[in-house]
This record gives sequence, C-alpha cells and structure tokens, in this order.
Amino acid sequence: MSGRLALPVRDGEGLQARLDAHFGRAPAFVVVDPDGTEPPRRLVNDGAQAEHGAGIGAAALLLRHGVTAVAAERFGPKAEQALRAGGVALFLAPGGLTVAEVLERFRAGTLARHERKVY
Amino acid sequence: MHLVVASGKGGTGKTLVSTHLAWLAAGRGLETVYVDADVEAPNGHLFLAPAVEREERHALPLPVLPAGRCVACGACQDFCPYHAILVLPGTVLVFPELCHSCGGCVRVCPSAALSEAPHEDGTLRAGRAGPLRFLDGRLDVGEPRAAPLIREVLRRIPSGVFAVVDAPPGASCATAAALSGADRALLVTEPTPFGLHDLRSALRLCRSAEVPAAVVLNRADLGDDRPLREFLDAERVPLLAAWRYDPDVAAAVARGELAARRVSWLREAAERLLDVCLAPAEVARP
Repeated sequence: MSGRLALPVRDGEGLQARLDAHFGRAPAFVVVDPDGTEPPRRLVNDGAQAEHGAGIGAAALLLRHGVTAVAAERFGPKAEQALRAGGVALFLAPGGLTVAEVLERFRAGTLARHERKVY
Repeated sequence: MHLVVASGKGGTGKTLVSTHLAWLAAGRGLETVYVDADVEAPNGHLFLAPAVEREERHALPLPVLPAGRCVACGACQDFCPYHAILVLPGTVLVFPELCHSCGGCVRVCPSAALSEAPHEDGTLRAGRAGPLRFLDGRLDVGEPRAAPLIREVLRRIPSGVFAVVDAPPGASCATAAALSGADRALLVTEPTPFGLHDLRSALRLCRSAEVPAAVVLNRADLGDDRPLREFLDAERVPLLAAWRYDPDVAAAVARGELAARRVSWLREAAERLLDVCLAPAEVARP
C-alpha cells in the first residue's frame, strides 16, 4: 500500500522516537513512508498546548502533509472525527514503543485497527 | 450602579449575599434588579420566588455550509483560532462546541460559501419579586460556553437602576463576562485555604477588569481567618463584613428562604453591608 503513516511522539529522533500516548497533545509527529522511499519527517505539533481543539489542529496538520494513516494509543473524540472525515485510517499502538517498532507491526499487518465507536 | 457579587470558590455565599442586598435595597424603595448571571446553576429564583413575566430562548449563530460553493481553499480554517472549522476534500466540518460565534469564517470566505444558522443555548427570564425586579439566564445542559448568555442577561438590565449581579463561581470566561460593566465587585469568601486561594484568582480577575473589589467573609468563625486578613491587609483590599456561621441561616437556605426574614442579626448585618455598598466612595480602591 502507498501512503504516509504518522505517529505522535514525545522524544527521540526519526525511527528511534518514542510514541506519545495521546494523539492531539503530543509535542510532535513523525511521518514515515511504509513503502520505504521517503526518509522519516518530524512535524512539530504547534497546537499541543492549545486550550481547546488540539486534536483538530493536529489532524489538520497531518492532512496538510498527506498523511493517510495514524497510529496512537488514544484519540480524542474530535480528533477521531476529523481524521475519519479526512479518510485517514486509524490504528492503535501503545505509548512508549519506538517508531521503528510500530512501523514493523504496521508492515506486518499486525497493528490493531481503531474501530469506530458506536454510541 | 452595578454591583457584582463573585467569589472564586463556589459555595461561599454569593447567592446569600446578592439576594439579601437586592431584596433589602428594593425594600428601601430603591429601584433594584437582582440578576442571576450564574447561568450554569442559577438558584436566586429559589429564594426570591419571582413571578416570571417574560421568558425567551437565546441563540448564537453557527457557521453552516450549504452544498455547492465551497472550493476547499481553507481560508475559514486558517482564520479560526479555536480550530472549530476543518476543511476536508469535499466537505467542511464544524465543531459547534469549539465555535465562539464570531462570524469570522463567514466573512473571510472568498466564495461566500458559508452562512450562519441560529443555535439555541439557553433561556432568559424576566420578572418581579414584589418591588424587586428579577433577571436570570439558564444555560442548556451540555452547552460549553456560558459567557454569551451571561452578556445577554446583563444587556437586559434597565438603565439607571441598582443592579446586583450574582456571578458564577471561578475566575474563568464566565466570571469575566459577569464582571463586564461592573462598578464594583464584592468577593464572598470563607476562612479556608481553598477560599483564600480562589479569592486571589478572583481578585486578579477584578484588577485586570479594573473593577474595584472588596471582600465579605462568610462563616467567619469556621476556620482560621488570619491568612485571609493578612492577605487583605497586604493587598489593601477592604473587608466589608464578616458573617458568622449560624445553623438557622443554613436551615433557611436549605428551605429556599431568605434567611434575613427570620434571623434578625443577619438582616441587620446585610442592611449595614448595603449601606456601605451604596456609599461607593468608601468602597472604591482600584
């Protein structure tokens, strides 16, 4: 499959960066190309400290950069709504893993899909 | 004169103070309105039992996107500092709970694709309790922002009357909205660490709004009031009254009655407080 996978990260660089538990409040994102042609890119999440709407701002940032899949431990309700409306595939990955570890699971097809909640 | 009764910490006695001041002022023949601006939990009506003469719904404009004209340029999204609008291929998502109804997105849209539709968020009431005029607002359950409804309640205050505004607790946007246009603020507190902590926030808010503030200490004998008194001395904030805890007052409040109808010391104390409040020069200390 082609596309870009974005992961919220709290520290570290590139493939060694560690996953932040929360999507919208992560200080940065690492965007990787699972097909292996683009080098990992780091996007600073300027809205991480926003009083409201951090998740929407983060979703807008990723959509601008052509992201098609996101893996995180938790998504806020508005971030989830925005990402799904933008056609982004959502996956679950525990915080603390490295980007390399998540990428490996993604390529192996073992990363759990984040199912749409039914209220 | 607009007197705003605020507190910082909740449950210190804002409504006890504000209902009594308004009721006593009206009883003196002064044209007075009690304004319940605590729209997330209005309770002044329980004590004043007003006859409601007018009731109306309040609404705010929210952006809507009729089909057809949007070219997904993103101007609305770039404009909105609250991330309330998100442009996606083929659609625009509006997050009503983040929108502040400023109308900016509609104005910056170069394609005139967005319009506004009313979104109801609460109810405004006006009435009378004997000689006392009464206004309140009630925010609908689930609505995230109280400030627009509070501003609308305040706009209904008739000119030239003595207005006693019962503010929401805290020191957030809602309290700031209730303080706007105030001539002075009475901050009701209690002799506890929480009371003092939140009083500091409320006092900072009054100062940033340039509203002179004075303090009423309620349940003055239930705790250690020395830290509070030292703070007020250091900050040169006047302490206008210290009311003791009285189970008869608590019982009257629990029954939804104006305690001063039965408790004579409270009536006398509230009359003295009203005297001070109506003599503004004594209170003012910017």
